[in-house]
Amino acid sequence: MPSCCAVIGSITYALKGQRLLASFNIDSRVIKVRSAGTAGGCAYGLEFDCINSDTVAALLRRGDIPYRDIFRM
Amino acid sequence: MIYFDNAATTYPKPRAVYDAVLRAMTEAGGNPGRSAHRLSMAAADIIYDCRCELAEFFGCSVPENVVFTYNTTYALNIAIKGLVSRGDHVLISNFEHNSVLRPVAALASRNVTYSVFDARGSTVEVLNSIKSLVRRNTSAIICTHVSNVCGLELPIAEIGEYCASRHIAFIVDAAQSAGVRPIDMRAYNIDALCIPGHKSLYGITGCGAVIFNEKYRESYIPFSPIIEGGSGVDSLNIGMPSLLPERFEAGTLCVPAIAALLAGMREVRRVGIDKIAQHELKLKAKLCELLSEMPEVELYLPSCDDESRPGTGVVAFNIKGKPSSDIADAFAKRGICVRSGFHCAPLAHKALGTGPDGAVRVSFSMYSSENEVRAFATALHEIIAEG
Repeated sequence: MPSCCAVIGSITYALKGQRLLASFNIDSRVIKVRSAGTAGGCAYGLEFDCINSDTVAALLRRGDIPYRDIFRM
Repeated sequence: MIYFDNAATTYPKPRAVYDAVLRAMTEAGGNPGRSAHRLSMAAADIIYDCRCELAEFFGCSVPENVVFTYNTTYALNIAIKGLVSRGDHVLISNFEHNSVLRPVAALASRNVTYSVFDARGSTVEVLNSIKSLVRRNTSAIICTHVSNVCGLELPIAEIGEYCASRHIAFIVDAAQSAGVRPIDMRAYNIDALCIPGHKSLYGITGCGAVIFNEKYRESYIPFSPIIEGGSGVDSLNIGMPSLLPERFEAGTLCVPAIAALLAGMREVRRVGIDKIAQHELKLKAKLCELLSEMPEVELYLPSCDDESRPGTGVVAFNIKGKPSSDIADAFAKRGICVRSGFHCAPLAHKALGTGPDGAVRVSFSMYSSENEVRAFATALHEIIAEG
């Protein structure tokens, strides 16, 4: 399955997001997002199975975890 | 050796703390928040675990509001210089450490003025002292939870309630209380709680934290950092990130110290802070009983007449006519560690009326024992007899 990435920003929110997703049995991996893909430069993101995109977006919003974008890797 | 200087830093630490430091250095040796490789992520995980547990321990629902600093002083500087604005008036107590007094005094350059309330007496008396000093432009009350000189506990729940009713920010210096007195930021209406890692939370020196109330979120961080630098995020922007905690965490964090804090806090939770507090207060009562039998000894014990504020296991005293530094030196020669002088708290010493050389401070930890207290009293008898 293709991987998607939620661009989050800080390592703190990335870890918070990872643990939130894990509590809903969604596996994810913290990665550094390509600098060119983020407006401000360095950022962390969460890599996950694209099949979960809608759920991940909803969970991150509900968990007050600010994310900038979700894109297919 | 007898170590009774735990108010400065606790010693020894729990075994788990030493193990955690070694593990952090050997298994999590990367730079947290800078990369995503295994060692960097292992370090980041430790830090995030510590944020989560600190937030829970102190009644804050959002771990990202835990900002790591080098120590309590840095934490207080961030909170005070952030939450107090030009032209404001603030209140501090007459038992403040210089970590509060000096940053507040330095704000005179921003036309900030301050008044000092009396923290002695009953809760009602303390609140009356505060109310008599509050002005229209009073923006913050900044106070210690427990005095580092004598263990006097301030009524922070009631002060916090008053602050909330007047929309006054409440900044608490918990250097002496974190880990030995219960603190609930939400219940006590604390805006910023400043804690050390290396005292009653049994971590090592090198890290502290300021925990901001959960009301301070992305949309409402009305203040600037006092230190700027690398944060590992938004590197192309010239300003610091807007989000907590990175906004206030410029530069690399001390991972081994944060790992130690996490391990120490877990040990405190395992033992139980009530049990630790009772143990230390029992030792304090025993020591005071022994000292009060010595007419040459002057004890400095402010009473608060409130059982809900038992304070901590700290005792200040002098031998009449003998400089405190000489007394501490005499103890040191006998292998007993205590601290003399003014303990960076000139207001407290003035309030207590100690000598021109300050006082001797004895402070316990969960590892102190009654046998050590008795040995201390015996040594004190010898020192008095020496003249």
